Amino acid sequence: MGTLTQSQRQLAWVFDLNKCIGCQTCSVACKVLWPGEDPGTETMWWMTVNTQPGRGMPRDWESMGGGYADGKLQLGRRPSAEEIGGGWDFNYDEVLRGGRGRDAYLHVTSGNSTWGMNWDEDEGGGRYPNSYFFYLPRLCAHCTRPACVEACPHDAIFKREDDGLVLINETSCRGDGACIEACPYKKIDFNALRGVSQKCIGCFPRIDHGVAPACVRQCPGRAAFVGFLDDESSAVHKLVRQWNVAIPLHPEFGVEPNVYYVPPLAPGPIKPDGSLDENGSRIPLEYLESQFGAAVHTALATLKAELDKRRRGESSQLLDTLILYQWKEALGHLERDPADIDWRSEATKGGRS
Amino acid sequence: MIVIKKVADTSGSMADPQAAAWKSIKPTALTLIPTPIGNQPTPYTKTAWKDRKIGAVSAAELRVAHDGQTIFVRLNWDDITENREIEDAEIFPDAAGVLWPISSEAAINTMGAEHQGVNAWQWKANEESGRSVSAFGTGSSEPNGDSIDAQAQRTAKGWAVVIARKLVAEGDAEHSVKLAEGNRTRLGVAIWEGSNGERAGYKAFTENWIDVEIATA
Repeated sequence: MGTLTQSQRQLAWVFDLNKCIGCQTCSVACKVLWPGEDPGTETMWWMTVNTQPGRGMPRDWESMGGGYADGKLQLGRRPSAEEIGGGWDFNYDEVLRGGRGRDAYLHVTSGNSTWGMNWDEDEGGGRYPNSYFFYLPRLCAHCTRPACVEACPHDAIFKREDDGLVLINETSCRGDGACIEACPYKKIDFNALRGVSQKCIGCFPRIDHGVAPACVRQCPGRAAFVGFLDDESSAVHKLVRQWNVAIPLHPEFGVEPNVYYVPPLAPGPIKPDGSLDENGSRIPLEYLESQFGAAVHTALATLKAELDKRRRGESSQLLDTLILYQWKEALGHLERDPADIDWRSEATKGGRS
Repeated sequence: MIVIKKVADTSGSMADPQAAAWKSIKPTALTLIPTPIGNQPTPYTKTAWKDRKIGAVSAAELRVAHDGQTIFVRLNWDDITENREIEDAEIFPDAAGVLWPISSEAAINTMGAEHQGVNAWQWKANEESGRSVSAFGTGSSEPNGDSIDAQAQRTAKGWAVVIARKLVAEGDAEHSVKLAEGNRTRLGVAIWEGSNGERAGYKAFTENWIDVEIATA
């Protein structure tokens, strides 16, 4: 029970927070493709994008516990339905298809949510003129040391050997929720109708066919990358292993997550006399360190040094990788177009094509 | 030793906890104890409840009968909180189970062991039908596909539940307990108190197997 098989290879995600515009295309691509709006999954978002600084979703998830400290599993708690929140239903049919022209107006028909995904959108931190925010996309981190696997009393969670994706076997899952308590990122949902835990599946059926996960492939800002960490030609490898500019969120959680972030650079703060403090950061470095650990300082220093090179007219392989002139370079060789696949016939084959 | 009487249950009504036929079956008083924290299957589940009380239900009444085709296990116990759903704040559905050894050496407190299987028939307040699982040690339970009929009723003091299965199992001998008239076997009982957050290994159970004989008359 709770047995962890170490994977041969590890698929990883990188999000460039300097490019994420909070458009929620990744969230919606995932929502539409996977959890959908079937009964039991209405409030599930396996991919979320929230404004930082902010309380996140579930609300205040960072203080709910879980993960490891000093090598020991830490107790955590399940978020309540209210902390996850939801949305509302509107009278779309009446307004858009009801034939009532200008007599019908959009209004809420049901729902009493008091929280939801990106509830505190663009509130951010700081005070004018030094207010600031950035967007933080989050999904299951398919951890190298997943607390959920160790916590599960039914051995229902496993890590795939070929790509390190962490999956829940819903046949074995009994809905006891130990995984939800143990996950420090609170990226496991509970389907009360089916009595099982559910979470991001890393788009594994797509991975098996050489197709990138929907959150990455759909990103209009070219801010998302995916690839195998050991694939030296992948952008993910370059950003995480070569340049060390992509770093994990809350490394102190101890689960060795495989979702990495290029931390946000910010202009300098505006001084009381209206001039720019070019040596400072409008996003307080202490705040970034509280999110990404001490590694954020070297990551930011590297980014700044490479930016300076470009300003001097020199070339920068790092910036070229981040700019992503060829968008398919974000896909870590998972470049196949899902539209080219006959899923009905290939679904039975399994295995990568 | 409980002798499981054969009854003429022409209407199949013994699946109903309130059936009049149950009045003729002598109850056995059960004492339930908390599952030992050391038996929880993972470090997390051991740690999470080390300072919490496991096993809120300490007593239950057991009645068992069969009609030559189906065996009926009736349990009733006091429970003022009716928990039918998984809710916020650590509320889980009330549940009960009856455990049978598949292998005669199987231990009750570890849910069997490798090559020493046990078969549990379960009722959960949030599920319409019962469930049959086999296990080979703590944390190893898997559904075995056998059909279980489970019906529950609220009583003045708590729950009355009947869990029933055909004597002849649908599944194979490795995963399903074989029962037949004239056989002697053993059973155990577990009860989960949902208001106490009990689920999976957090439950109250009969510490020792109870000997039973499936009477021919």
